[in-house]
Amino acid sequence: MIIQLIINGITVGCVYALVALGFGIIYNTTRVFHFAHGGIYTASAYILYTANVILGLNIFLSFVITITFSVLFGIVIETLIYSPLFKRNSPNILSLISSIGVYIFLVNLIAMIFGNNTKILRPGIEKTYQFASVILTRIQVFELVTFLLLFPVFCIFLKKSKLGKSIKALSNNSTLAIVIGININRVRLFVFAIGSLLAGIAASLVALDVGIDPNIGLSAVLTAAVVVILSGVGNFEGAALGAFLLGLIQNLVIIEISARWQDTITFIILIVFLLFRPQGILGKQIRLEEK
Amino acid sequence: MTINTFLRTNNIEASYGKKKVLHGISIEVQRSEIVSIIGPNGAGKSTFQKVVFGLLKPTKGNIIFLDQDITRNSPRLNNFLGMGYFIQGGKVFTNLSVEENLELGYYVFKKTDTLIEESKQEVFQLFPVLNKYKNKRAGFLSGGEKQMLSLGMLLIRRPRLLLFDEPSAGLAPLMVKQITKKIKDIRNRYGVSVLMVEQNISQALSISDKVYIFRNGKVETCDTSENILKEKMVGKIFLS
Repeated sequence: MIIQLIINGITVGCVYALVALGFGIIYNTTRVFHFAHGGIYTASAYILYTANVILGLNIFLSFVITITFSVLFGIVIETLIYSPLFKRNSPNILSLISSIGVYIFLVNLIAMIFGNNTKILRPGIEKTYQFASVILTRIQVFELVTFLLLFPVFCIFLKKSKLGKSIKALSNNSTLAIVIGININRVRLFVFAIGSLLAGIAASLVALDVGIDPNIGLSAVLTAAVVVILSGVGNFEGAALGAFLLGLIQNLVIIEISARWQDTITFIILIVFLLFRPQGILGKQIRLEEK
Repeated sequence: MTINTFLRTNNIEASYGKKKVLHGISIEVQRSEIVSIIGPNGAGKSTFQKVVFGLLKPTKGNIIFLDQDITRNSPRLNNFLGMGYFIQGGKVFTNLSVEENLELGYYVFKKTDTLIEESKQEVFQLFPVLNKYKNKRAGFLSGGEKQMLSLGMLLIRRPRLLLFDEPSAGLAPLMVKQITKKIKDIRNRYGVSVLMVEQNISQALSISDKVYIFRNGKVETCDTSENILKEKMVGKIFLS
């Protein structure tokens, strides 16, 4: 029983990690608290639903269409909203408020078109695999595999590629990045594309797993924000660690208390961290002048 | 034809919001010349440099760099043309390694890897300490070493004109001497022109060919360092 819960925690952690890596790369690089990440997440899930269930396309084609749209959403929001604000040197609070606006707009648009009720993409009983006493559904296996494939790619991209290094540079010191001539508008655009791609992938997996309703994006983006804070702001890859921690704790507490308390647990963990380790799990002691 | 006047500004005016900071500044920097701007606080020295580099747009006047009008250029474009800007205090990307910092100085230009390697070795020769720590996170460098790295990031692209915004700010006296000497070495070695804003007047005068004294957003005096030292103009300016 406990092993099953740990495995469940890990698979949930995989999905959290994907959303949080996307949210984190955007926040760390641009300092935009990208609330609309949740809107992109919801919209992606509904695009998958439209393609797969309403239009009856096969799941792989639907998935490709979905992530293409996710990336487009990210690029459009950056181009039309954040980028103009950034060029005008607006304070971060403006991009946050605009972002919440985009989120509300997207969610209401979706509710208007598709209705408020939960939609299931895969009716019936999902195929399962049993390993000793642990049972995994097919989609859980997908979640694990997707994470295990994408995470190394994400890390290597950041560490080795020129663009990855430019992203890290921009997150560290935007003035210096401008001064040495990094094309920061292009870097920002890429960051939003990558972040939204990850959101789209995670949303597709969750949609197939538990179904969709217009509000799934809210808890996704809030969880992502919590994970980024837990892991340590400024740390790109570390978000995965926080995601697994959160996934595990959420799944283990249901041994003792009702699953309805999961969100409460999430925020209790956040408060504990903010009180006792505000720099996050991986936050390093840094020299004062580095700030 | 070789161009000898690397930088010329004509009647530059600039303001922060409604507050006018520069009231018509015209200067010239010749090939391989070290030019210092000194003056009391609030004279507009750093602002002027920001305008030259494109970080702040002038409201009036124009800037000519290597015979091109660069008045409306972005900092990025000015980088391509061969300008380098040294931020006050010498900033580096603290989350990247020393080597990565240097390479970022070059990425922008999409040069081949062999060229990068060559210029990297050149920078390591000039600052051996950077070679020693090349795989270390730049955040762990001391203040003086960060200054060197910051300078290395500019030199790796072999600029024509370097703008220094207070290179000695926040450094120990011994380091101040060192960095001033490096600036002179770099000029002699690469033949770059230098336009420097400096609070440490004695250091600035010791290496400059020409000095502009700014006051209230205007050029008050322009002369060689020797003349300025001889006539004790500095004292007059700062004490009056």
